[in-house]
This record gives sequence, C-alpha cells and structure tokens, in this order.
Amino acid sequence: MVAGGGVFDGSAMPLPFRSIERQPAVRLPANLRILVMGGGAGLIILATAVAVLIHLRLLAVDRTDRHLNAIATLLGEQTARAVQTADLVLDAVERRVATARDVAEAGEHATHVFLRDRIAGIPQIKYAVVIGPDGKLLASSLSHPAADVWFGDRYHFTAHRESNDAGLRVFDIVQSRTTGEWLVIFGRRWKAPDGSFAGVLNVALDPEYFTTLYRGLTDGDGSAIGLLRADGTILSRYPDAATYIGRRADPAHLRRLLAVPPGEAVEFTSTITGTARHFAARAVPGYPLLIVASMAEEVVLADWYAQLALIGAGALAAIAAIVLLLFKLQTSLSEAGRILDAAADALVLVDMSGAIVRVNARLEGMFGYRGGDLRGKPIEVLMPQDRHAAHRGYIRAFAERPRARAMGAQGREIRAVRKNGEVFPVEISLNPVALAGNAYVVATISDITTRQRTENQLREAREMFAAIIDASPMAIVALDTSRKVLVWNRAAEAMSGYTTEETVGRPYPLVPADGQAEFDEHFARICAGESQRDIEVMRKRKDGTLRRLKFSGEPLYDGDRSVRAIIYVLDDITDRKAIEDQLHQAQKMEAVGQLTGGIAHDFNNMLTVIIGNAEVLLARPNMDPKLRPICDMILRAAEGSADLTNRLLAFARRQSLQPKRTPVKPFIERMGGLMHRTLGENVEIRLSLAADAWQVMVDAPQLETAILNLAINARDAMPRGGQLVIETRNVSFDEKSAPLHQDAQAGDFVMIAVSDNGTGMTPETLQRVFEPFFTTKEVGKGTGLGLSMVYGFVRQSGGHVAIYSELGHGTSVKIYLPRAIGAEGGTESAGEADGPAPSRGESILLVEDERLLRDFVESQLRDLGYSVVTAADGKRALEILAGETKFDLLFTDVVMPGGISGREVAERAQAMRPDIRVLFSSAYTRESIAQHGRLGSDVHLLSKPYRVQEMAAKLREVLDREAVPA
Amino acid sequence: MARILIIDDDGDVRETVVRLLELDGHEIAAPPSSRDVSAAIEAGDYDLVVTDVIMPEMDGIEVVRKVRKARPNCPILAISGGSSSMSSRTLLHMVGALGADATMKKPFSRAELQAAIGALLVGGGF
Repeated sequence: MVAGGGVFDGSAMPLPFRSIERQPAVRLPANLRILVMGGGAGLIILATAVAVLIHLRLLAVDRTDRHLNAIATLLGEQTARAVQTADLVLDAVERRVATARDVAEAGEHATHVFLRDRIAGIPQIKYAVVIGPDGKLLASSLSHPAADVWFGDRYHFTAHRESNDAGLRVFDIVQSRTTGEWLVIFGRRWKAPDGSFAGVLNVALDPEYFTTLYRGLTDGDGSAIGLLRADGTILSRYPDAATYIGRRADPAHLRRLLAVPPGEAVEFTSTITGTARHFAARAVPGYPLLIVASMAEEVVLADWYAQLALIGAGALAAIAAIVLLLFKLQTSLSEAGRILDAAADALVLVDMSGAIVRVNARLEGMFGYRGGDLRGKPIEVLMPQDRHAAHRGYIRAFAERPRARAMGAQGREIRAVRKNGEVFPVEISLNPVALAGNAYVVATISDITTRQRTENQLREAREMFAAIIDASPMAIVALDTSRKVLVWNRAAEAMSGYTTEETVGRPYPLVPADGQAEFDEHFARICAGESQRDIEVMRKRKDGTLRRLKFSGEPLYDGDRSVRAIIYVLDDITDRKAIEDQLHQAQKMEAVGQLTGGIAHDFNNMLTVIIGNAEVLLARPNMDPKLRPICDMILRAAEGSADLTNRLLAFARRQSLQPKRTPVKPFIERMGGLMHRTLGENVEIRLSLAADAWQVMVDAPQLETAILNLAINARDAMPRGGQLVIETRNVSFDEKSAPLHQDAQAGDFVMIAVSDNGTGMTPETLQRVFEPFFTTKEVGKGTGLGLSMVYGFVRQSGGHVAIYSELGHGTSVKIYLPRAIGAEGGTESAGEADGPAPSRGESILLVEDERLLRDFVESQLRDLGYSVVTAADGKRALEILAGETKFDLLFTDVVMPGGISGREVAERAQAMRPDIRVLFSSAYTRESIAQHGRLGSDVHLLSKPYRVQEMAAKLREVLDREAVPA
Repeated sequence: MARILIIDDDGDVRETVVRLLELDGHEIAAPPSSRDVSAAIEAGDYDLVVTDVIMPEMDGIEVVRKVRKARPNCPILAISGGSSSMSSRTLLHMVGALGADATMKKPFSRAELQAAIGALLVGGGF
C-alpha cells in the first residue's frame, strides 16, 4: 500500500486495475464488496435515522411530559382553590352547627337557610348538608325540612364516624340517590363539644365543574385530566368522565406515579383505559387529592410517527439510491476492469519511487507473471539488467517533470524482459496521473516483437529488392510521371555514365535532341498503361556518345490503380548489334562460300566436258575448217568461265593459295607501274609506306590482284580523277579492341589502306559491299566480285578487311594481314624450309567426319611419327575413348553430324582423362564458333583449310604446353 | 600406247576424257558403275588410272588404295574440280599425299592432259 494512497486501497474502491495491495488481503468478490459497502452505507443512514427518530421521540415525550406536568400543576392549583372554597364553606357550617345545642336545633330551618345562603354563588358546590350521627340527614341547603335520607352506609359518613380525627377531610364520589347524577362529596367531622362524633358536614361538589375546568385547559391537545382521591379513586375526569368516574387506579401504578419527581412523567399502560399512556401527577395542596394529567402514547407520538414515516422512507430511499449507485458503479468499474484487462496493451501503474502499484491482466500475460506477483516490486524487474541503473535516473527525471510522452529517446529500441528471462522489444508510453494527491505514472506497454519482425522483414525485403535492382546486369531506371528519375541502378550508371546522385530527382537525361518525340510517345503509352517491349532507340551517354539501347517499359501502379511511376529496363545493344551484324555477314559469306564451292565442283566438271569436247572436235583430221573458229570461241568462253569460277572460289576462300613470307613495302612499290597503267593519268597515286612494316604471310599474286581490284574501284569512284592513297602501317589489336573492329582478331597485323577522295558510299551500300555480285556499277562494267574476292582472299589469309566511306568524301578500304611468324628476313616460308615439326611418339585420336580429310590427316600424322586412331563421328570417338588405348591428344572437328559435337567429345574426354590435350579444327572462324557457344575463347583451334606445316606446329604447341592447372 | 582406266562418276566427263585419250591412240576402259570400277581395278588390265576424287560411292582415295593393292606400281592421275568445302588444289594435294602419282585440276586442256599422262607413262608406266 502506498503511503497516503488511500484511493488505491482495494477495499475502498474497486479500481479497474488488478489489485496488488501490500497487506495480505483476503479479497472479497467484487459483488460482495459492493453489498458490504451498500449495507454499511445503509446502516449508517439507518442508524442516523433511528438516532434522529429516537431523539425526536425523546423530544416529543419530553415535550409531553412537560406539558402534562404543567397541566397537572396548574390544575392542581385550580382544583385546590375550588376545594379550599368548599372547605371555607365547611368551616362556616362547622362554626354554625357548633353553636347548636342539640341535633334538633341543628335541623332547624335556620340551618337550612344558613346552608343555602352559604353556598349561594359558589358554582362548584351543588349543595351543603349536615348529617346526624345516625347517618340521617339533618339539614340541607336544598330544602327544609331536609329530605329523609340516610347516609349511614356511605363512605363519606363511615370514614368520619370511624375516625376520631377532627381534621380529616374525606372526599367521595357518589351517585345521587335522588337525581342519579355524580357528585364529589367533600366533608369533615362534626365534632360535638365533648369531642364525640356528632355527625358529618358535607358539601357536594359538581364533577362537571372540574370537567369544565379541565376541558378549558386541555381541550384539543389530546391529554386527559383526572382528579383522583389519594387512594386512586377517580373523582372526576376529562374527557369521558362518565366512563371512568368512580373507578380506581392500580395502586402499583399509583405508587409509581407518585414516586416520579416533579416535572417528570411516567409511561405505562393504564389498567383503566387499557392503553399506553404518559402520566404526570400533582397532589392538590392541603387535600388528599391528585391531579393526574395523561396523554395516550399514540397522541404523544402522533407527530413522531409522521416523522418516523417520513424519515424512514427517506432513509430507505437513500439506501436504495446508494445501493443502486454502487451497483451501477460496480458494474461500470467491473466493465472498465474487464476492458482494461482485455486491452491489447499492458498497463502498469507505478509510483514515483518506481514501485509497481497495479498491473492489468494483459501485462501479467505479456510478462509471464500471475496475479499479485508484481505487487510492490520495482518496475525494473520488467527490464533487462543492463537498463536498471539508467532507469532509476529516468524515474527521477520524470518525477521532476512529469508529462505524457513515449519512453526512450527517438529511435532507441526499448527492451523488456519476461519472468522467464526472455527479452523482447516494446514500446512504452508514459502518462502521469495524480491520484489522491500523489503522483503516479501509468505506463502503457506494447509488445512490438511481431511488428518489429514484420518491419525487419519488410526492411530486409526492401533492401534485398534494392540490392537485386542494383545488382541487375540490366540497367533499371524508374521515372515518375513528371519524368524525374526515381531509380537509377548500378548497371544504369555504367551504361549511361551518369551516377545515381546525378540523376535521381532530376529529369531523365538520356534522350538526344532528335529522339524527344519518340521518347514522348513511348512515355505516354506506358503512362496510359501499355507495356513496351524490346524497343530499340538511340540514347546519349553523359560523354555525348550515342548508343543503341533496347528497352522495355512498364507502368507501376499505386493503390488506386493509377500510374505512379514507370520502370525501364535498358540494354545497351550497340556492341552486340555490331557483332550480330558482323556474324550475320560472316554467316552469309560462309553460306555463299559453301554454295560457290558446290557450284564450282559441278561447274568445273561441265567446263571439263566443254573444253575437252571442243578439243576433241579440233583434233579431228577431217574437221571442217569453218568450224575451227567456233571451237576456239567455245574454248575461250570455257576458259573465261574457268577464270570466273576461280574468282568465286577466291571469294569463297576456297582458292588455292600459296602464302609466302612477303615484305609489304617493296611489294607495293613494285606494283607502282602496273597501277599507273591501270588507273590512267587522272588518278594521282600517293604511297605512304611505313619503312618498318612487318613481313606478312600471303599469296603475293593474289594480294596484287586484291590491291589492283581496290585501286580500280577507287578509280571508278573518281570519274573526274582524284587522289589514290596507299598506306601501310603496323597495327596491333588486343583482345579488347579487336571485336569492335569489324572482323578483327587480336594480334599483330600489317594494314594496307587504299583510299580515294571519290564519291563515297551510302551506309546502305557500305553494308553490302562484300556480298558477291553486289555492284553499284552499270551492268557490264563489273562482276560485283571485286570486293568479295578481296574479302575472301584476306579472310583466307588470316586477316580482315575494314571499309570506311562517307558519301561525297571518298572511301577507305583497310586490309589487315597477319604478321609473319618467325624471324624476319627470307621470303620463303620458314616452316617449309625447316620441314614440319615431328612427333615425339605421342598418340592422337583424330575425329573427322569428312572421309578424305580424315584419311589425309591420318596419313600426314603418321608421316610425322604420331600413332593415330581415327573416328568418323563423336559417338565412335567416345567409344574409343572409353576403351583401353590412351591418347595424348584429341584432334577433333568442331561441327560434326550425328548429334555429338567436337566440344562434347572434348568435354567427355577431359572428364575421363583430365590430362588429355585437345586441338579443334573447323572451317568456321574462331569468332563465329565462340559466339555460337561451341567453344571457349581460350581453346586451341586450327582453321580449315590448313597446311601440314601449320598442323604440325600447332600440334607441338598444344602438346608442349605446360599442363594447365585445373 | 597404253591401256588406261578412266574413273569418274560424271558420265559426260568420263566420255570426254575417253575421247581425248582415244585421239592419242590409248586403249581406254571407262566402267560406268562403281561395281564395274571395282571389278576393272581388280582385273588389273591397265597401265594407268585416271580417277576423279569426289565421287559418291567410291571416292578417289578408295580407288587409289584398290589400285595400289591390285597393281602396286601402276601410275595414278587424280583429277578434281574441287568440292563444296575444299578447293581442287587441296583435294588433289591430299590425294597426292595418299598415293596418287599426279594430280590435275578440272577443267584442263587436252595439252595439259597429254602432258600429265605422258609424264606418268614415261616416269614409271613400264
């Protein structure tokens, strides 16, 4: 129990907190408590009411007593005066009769007159009489002679006769024997001169006199007045005199009554009236008489009964109201308690010393305590150990400046600890509350484990999504509907050159001036809810370079299904596009080459037939001479056809080349004269030849043809003459720069550029210049094979061709020929001079589907000293590899029929024999194979066709390599 | 004059070569089918063989092998107009390596044929 915190005494008020008083509490059920409290309040009210009523009753009784006493006193005096008057009459009568000599004298007329005169004017005296000693009436104020009446049996006579006391006063109540009316007889002894009994002197008092007297004093107040003889006989009474006169009061009652001190009254049930009454009595001074004033209890308490009813009803009403109020209070408190217990948040009431005063059920559930466990404990039991010290300080600080606030600094996590030691995150709000003049804190505690977990999951998910977006190799950009950048991932940075910081919140920066309309259209479509897929556009990098991008755009909706933002996924396809174009071109060339080779075979057969038969005709001895020119014409046409076939084969890279080590500079210088003759005077020829140009391995006559072809094309592009520049230079490409340079491979090359300042070509023309039979020249002016031949020849020679042209500014064709390997100097092939590199007895598995080639290569390998096993396809090769024979090297074609490629054979072979070396051969170029994913870029490849020396050298290179670490 | 076996899957070429060589008085056999070719080779009744290289059923290499088996010292002249994947020069180079004594690419003139045949017959025909 908190000092001074009476409000929190559970027995006083059922607060809506689970009570945890400090004293051991025998707790009553709430309903019973209410009942007890209601009963208590009722009793108090009842007791008060009773006390008030008792008091009122006492007041009423007291008032009555005083009233009765006052009446009795007053009437006692009045009665005494009336009786004294009668007594004076009797004195006079006594003196009168004392003078009479005898009884007879006493009965004389004079006595009657005396009596009559004596009582005249005294209203209360009815008559006065003198009674003789024998009881006979001697004289009367009423008549003379006196009526013959005998009183010898009457008490008022006998009492005097039997008493010797001359001072005795006797009162009696009698009913007149003549009139039947009630009379109060008051008399004294008539004493003879000798002192003997001479008779009795009486006056008759009218009871009505007293009744009238009493009525005048008491009428209407409910009291009754009785005139009693000392022995209790009722002489007169008001009211109801007729009923009670002559009756005698209970002597015991009479004694009680007489024992009461003056001014007080006594209450008892009258034996005469049979009702409870209050009595007050007064002796009539000088006479054996009592005045008794009484009042019926019901009259005494009549007002009090009314008050009793009123107050009782009021008290009952008050108790009922209290009970009702308490019941309502209990109901609402118990509801409030249940509501608080049912609250999702835990509530704890703490005093400013940090002691727990109350908790709700939710708190106990949350922290794992049971009813009362926490009573009086420091609030720190709900906190982790490491927070205790700091918290004491916080309590002090809070006590100094209590205000409603959240606990803990902004952003700091608050932890709570359960009874079982489990720590969990919470949110606490503090509200100061003053109860009964003391300051407390209500702490509202929410377990935010779930929320925090959800928030963590959300945050992690958000971070992961951000990381995913950032890690995406595709550029991802989001714009809001006003085209400001919202998201700009890492790939977008790399692609555009703009950093995230430079873009977010700013307008989308990539649209080039001439692309605005296109951008607007796509943007509007996406904003209208339309997805855009794989659309190729030109965009500008930060450095100003234009890139070809492929983008997909999607709208992002917010909750009400309106477009909130749009997201772009961007892919820079500039390089890929170029490579694809080149690959496409290479594939086209390859296809044309295949076709050309096939046609050439049949064409050569047909030419053989044509030429042969023409010659058969010419050889006939009886040949008509006129037919001879015809045969000659046939032969010339056939030879022309054979020449054309050779050119086709040259383009198709299937001509027979005889490459020799050739120094470029002297070679071109030697062509000078030929070129002048071919190009004519209008074309100025300028040579710009590097003195240090490397030697190249090339078929020299074919190179001459190629250069001449280029020169002729240049001339035709300069119909009014111009300048032809032939330039040579050494060029090296590394792996990075090579792929961007059209067909280029990495390595050392000698570039031979043939440039003119002629008409130039459109980009469309430029795209197709290497295609066979493509020509811009008039029909008949060219075969369309010139550049194709150059292309085929250079490619077959291991080099590549690049062409640059701009309409109106001329054309430049650059031939890159591979630098000759080996020592510079001699013009003959070093390989041929040295002979092929021989084997060291290694074994080779040769896989080749083309039978002729397989047989040929096999024979060549055997000649070189290798032991050879052959396979016609991949399946057979795998069977052989699975057998006993061990091979040092697998020499396989890449592309083979039968479903298993050379690459698969190589992979399986290396899986079985990790140390086996692999050499691929293929008619396709390294790049086209690499780009089709058939081979890695680091494998050894021998391009078909190859010469025996090349094959021997490559084999040794692969076999002699250091074992590649796995 | 010599007995010459002509082997070519193209009938027109075969007939043309026969005519050209008959002009020079050679005795010619030119079997039309591969089965006839095999029989003729195994019969061994010839002084010289002229064979095409690329043939669908029995190619020049096989011809060379069979001839070497039947008539080890008989000179062989291989002729070719190339294939879809290899030039005539490459093919003939390979056939030469595999045992042909001389090679000649199609088309050829009568003079070239006469020179080649003559060289082979002088060099080792007899």
